[in-house]
Amino acid sequence: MRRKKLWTGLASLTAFLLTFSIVGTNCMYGYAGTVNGALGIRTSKVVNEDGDTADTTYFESEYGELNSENLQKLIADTYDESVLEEEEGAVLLKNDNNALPLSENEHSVTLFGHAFAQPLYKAASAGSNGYKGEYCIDPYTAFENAGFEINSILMDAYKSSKTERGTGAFDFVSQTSSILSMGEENKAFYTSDIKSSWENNYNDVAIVMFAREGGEGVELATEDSEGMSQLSLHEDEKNLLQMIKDSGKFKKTIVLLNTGNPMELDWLDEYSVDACLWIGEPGQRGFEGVVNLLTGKADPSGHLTDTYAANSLSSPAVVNASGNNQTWANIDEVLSKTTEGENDISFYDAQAEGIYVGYKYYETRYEDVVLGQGKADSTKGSSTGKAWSYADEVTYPFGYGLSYTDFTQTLDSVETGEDTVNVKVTVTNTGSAAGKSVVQVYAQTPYGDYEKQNHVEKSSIQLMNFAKTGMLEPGQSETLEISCDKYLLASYDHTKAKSYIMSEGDYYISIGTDAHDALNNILASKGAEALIDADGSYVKGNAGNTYAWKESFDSEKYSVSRYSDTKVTNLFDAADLNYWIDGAVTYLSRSDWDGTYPVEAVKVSATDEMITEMNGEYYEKPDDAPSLKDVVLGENKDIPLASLIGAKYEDKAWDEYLSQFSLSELASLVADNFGTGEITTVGKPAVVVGDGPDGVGGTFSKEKYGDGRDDTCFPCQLILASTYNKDLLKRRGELMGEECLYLGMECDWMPGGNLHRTPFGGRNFEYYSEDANMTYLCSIPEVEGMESKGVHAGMKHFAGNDQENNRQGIACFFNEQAFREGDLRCFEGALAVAKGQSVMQGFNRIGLRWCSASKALITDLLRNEWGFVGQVETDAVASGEPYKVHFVSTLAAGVNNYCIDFGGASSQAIVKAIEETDDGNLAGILKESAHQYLYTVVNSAVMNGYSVNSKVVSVTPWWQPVTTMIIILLSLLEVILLVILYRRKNKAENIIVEGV
Amino acid sequence: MMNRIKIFSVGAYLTILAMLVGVIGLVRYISWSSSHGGVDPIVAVGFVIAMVFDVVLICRDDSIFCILATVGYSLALFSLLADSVGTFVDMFQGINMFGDVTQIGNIVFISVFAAVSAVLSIIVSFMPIRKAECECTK
Repeated sequence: MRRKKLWTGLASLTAFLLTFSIVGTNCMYGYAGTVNGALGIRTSKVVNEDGDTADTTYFESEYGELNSENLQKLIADTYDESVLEEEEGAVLLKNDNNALPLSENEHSVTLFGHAFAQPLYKAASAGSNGYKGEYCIDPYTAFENAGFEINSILMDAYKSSKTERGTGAFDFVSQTSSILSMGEENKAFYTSDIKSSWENNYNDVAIVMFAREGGEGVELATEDSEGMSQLSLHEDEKNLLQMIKDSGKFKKTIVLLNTGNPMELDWLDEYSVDACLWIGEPGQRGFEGVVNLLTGKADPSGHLTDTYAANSLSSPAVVNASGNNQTWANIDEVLSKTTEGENDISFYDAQAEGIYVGYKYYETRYEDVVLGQGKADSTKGSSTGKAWSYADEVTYPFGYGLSYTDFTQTLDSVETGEDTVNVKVTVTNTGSAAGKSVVQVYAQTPYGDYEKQNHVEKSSIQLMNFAKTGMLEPGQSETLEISCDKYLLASYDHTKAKSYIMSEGDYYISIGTDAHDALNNILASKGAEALIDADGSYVKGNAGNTYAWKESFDSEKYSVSRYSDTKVTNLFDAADLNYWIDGAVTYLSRSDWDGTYPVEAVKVSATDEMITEMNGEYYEKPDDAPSLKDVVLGENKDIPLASLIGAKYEDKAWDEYLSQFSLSELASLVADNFGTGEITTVGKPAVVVGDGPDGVGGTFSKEKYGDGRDDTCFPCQLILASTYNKDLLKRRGELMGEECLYLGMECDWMPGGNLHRTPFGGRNFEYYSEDANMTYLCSIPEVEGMESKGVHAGMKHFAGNDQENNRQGIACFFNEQAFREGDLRCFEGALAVAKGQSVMQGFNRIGLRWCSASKALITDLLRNEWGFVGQVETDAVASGEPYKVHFVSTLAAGVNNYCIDFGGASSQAIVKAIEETDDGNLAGILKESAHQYLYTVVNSAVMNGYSVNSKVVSVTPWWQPVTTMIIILLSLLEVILLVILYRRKNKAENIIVEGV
Repeated sequence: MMNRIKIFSVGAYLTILAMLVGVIGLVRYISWSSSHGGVDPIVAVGFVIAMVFDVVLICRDDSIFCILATVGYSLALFSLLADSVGTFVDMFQGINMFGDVTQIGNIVFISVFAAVSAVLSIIVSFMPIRKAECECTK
């Protein structure tokens, strides 16, 4: 009996393992692309004929051959570049009495703030894991390496503390959604023992670091668990600063802001903070740059790309966005009539702020207060309840940033041409330290009767371009010639001209230390008085740094796209809520701040028509659609993809090549799994892609290059933008492109191009700015840098994905002027100017349509008007929300690939739709989609090594036969055990029968 | 009935325990999954098959029923985990894209119950169900 039970037990155990193997293997096959990516497996290889002497290196690494020695050089350069970016991108916000840089006698310090023990290298999002490993320099190490003596008692206390910063995500341990914890220690943490540690020692300087953390899917809270904006100073932080102040022990107090979101900072004087440095999210090496700035080894030259409002809730965009999103007033009715999931269809954001995002709001309202127009001093939108005043609302304006030295900037000349405005500026270092200076060129365009009557809103100031000097020694000067694109002066008239117009009237060019300074210069040239700065101090402005000229009204010049000769006209009327419900939204207008300021969120019910629109089915087979039989497929002529290298998109050779594909082969291309698989019959290699603006998210091959470390986690993209240095922007693109060459990646989903619509955006750290022009200008060199390496820069998320909460399926409503000059302008630089060949879309809806289902966005605007030739990929469909699975509608809208479609649901659905309805039209769309996608593949470094004689050979990943073998062996074992059991059972029964 | 209970060995009680644990797991799964992505029939059927075979095992001790019960619980466990891969990836990556990290707790709870049932089932496979059979071996 015992032996029988032993066999039974073994059979049971084997059955358990066999079930695990079968289910597990099935799961691995479903996620094959991800598994292969994680294991560094390529599923295809190129086999070349002997004697094939064709040069097949189409894109070369600047380091030479891809080998272990050159990889080390690349890695070293990425680390150095990270430090440089941090040095040039961190922004010195306050520096009383030259508190910084610290002298050599000020190196015995206490580092305050739990953030030192839990630094925010990078918020949660796709990208590099390099900050998690041994090649990351933590802040303590960075200070020690620079020769600082650090208060080890406090350091050890922080490190052993259980306090943790929480982002509000679900906490497994507590089984609750975690508190949005600032992660700061409370008063009781600072025992007398700890306080005594700085009594006589480590008290040269108190350096305090605060962090604010968002992330993908994690918006910062407009009202957190402590009942306040997550961007305001919290109780524990106040207590910490007060404790430092009250101790009277420290000669200086320095605050570091470790965050990608602009904190409220009106408390710096209250706690006697001598200097404040915003350091963003420094990545794995950036803290070295932070310390270099503190010691003066580097001079700060970064400038803000956001407005730091005194009250983070004060922008009009906050009224409807982020934590204030609304659900339909008739949500129950909506849910009863929809086929979509509840989370996909419930929320909307009526962007009543119009164009007035960030500085466009604060600076425009300021000008109108100064000029006494538009009832700008109304109490509506005022943070104090009194008449709106710039000094009450803004702490640091867009473009602000201090240095350890002083500069003067003189506007030497401005030449206005047909298409450009050329500005010449001389910068002189009048201080005592070497440093770099940023020239910011701003413009003002007229807001006259035409604009008021036709609802063409105008910001009082807008960024036109920027440039950075080289390192200037004291007394040294440099003259910069900056060319500004006149197109950026045009405004979009969405009511009358339905195109871009040049307004009639006075135009101004101005340079300034920031947007507010530049605006004051313009106001001074207009003879305005009572100008103030953000402190509330009266200033005179410098009319000498402005230039004025006149333009005539022109609705023709930009009425045709400059990228494609397509006529420009309204494409997004249906994205305006007023289109569906008359008068639903009053857009903010500077003609009447008081009457149009959004004091509360827009609340509406969705009509039946709107619900139908949200249900996601838009494609209808045309009456004259050809039969599937009429579409040429499957005519294989052994033409490989490599034969199309160098061919233009319109080349007829593409037709012949694409006709080789079978329907299922064409459909297989749409399902992305961090790349696409090989198709050996048509010589298409497997393609792998990376993801992340701060790092591509790969691991180098230890087997090939002797080093298996993660790719570099650079400082966050916001730091990069804050450098205002186009050389650094380009270099980032180049270096990340080089990493992709070593990782075999065809594309990286970067840069992030969405707008900092509010200060609470969870992914603001990986976008450039609150300003669309800044985003436009920054993206161009970065995308060009990466594309030059044969790696596609796939900017994301196109378009309008400006918040992280409710991002899946949120309906974003706007007027077309705001969209074109805002969210679309963000992407125009990368896709239309820099000619990036890939783009990833967003989760949000454009109006009521998911942006991946918007033909107006993808085909009419992106491909036709902007002349984009390349790949359009959705955002992740992996989680299968209902609104993402209308594959036919999205394919017809112009999508090429479905991001992270593990199981190939998109491919199957599309083939089924084509075959069941005999839709040759849809088959033709699929074929063209393949054309668009494969064009990007053939124009990438993935084709290095391939000639027309090359064969693409499938490589079976090693885990597939291994798992199959395991299943076979376990099955055999199970069968053997069952046979043994069966025979023993029969034997026992026979014994019993004989006994009887 | 009492005679039957008297002859039950530890194996029988562990079988009953496995069933009870399985019932809790199944009920929790059904109530949770119906509003989170829907019920995966393989998971539900796995639980049910296992419990049915456990009942049959109590009534009629046969090795095959132990094995089939183990298969059932294992199927429920591993299918649930396979369905939840995206959520675990999100948890480890600290993002919220492929699954729903807020449901990690529920998924782990159900998985633990399925795992306990499966392990108990394996243990039971090594043991007799009835004391009378034990007597026979002496």
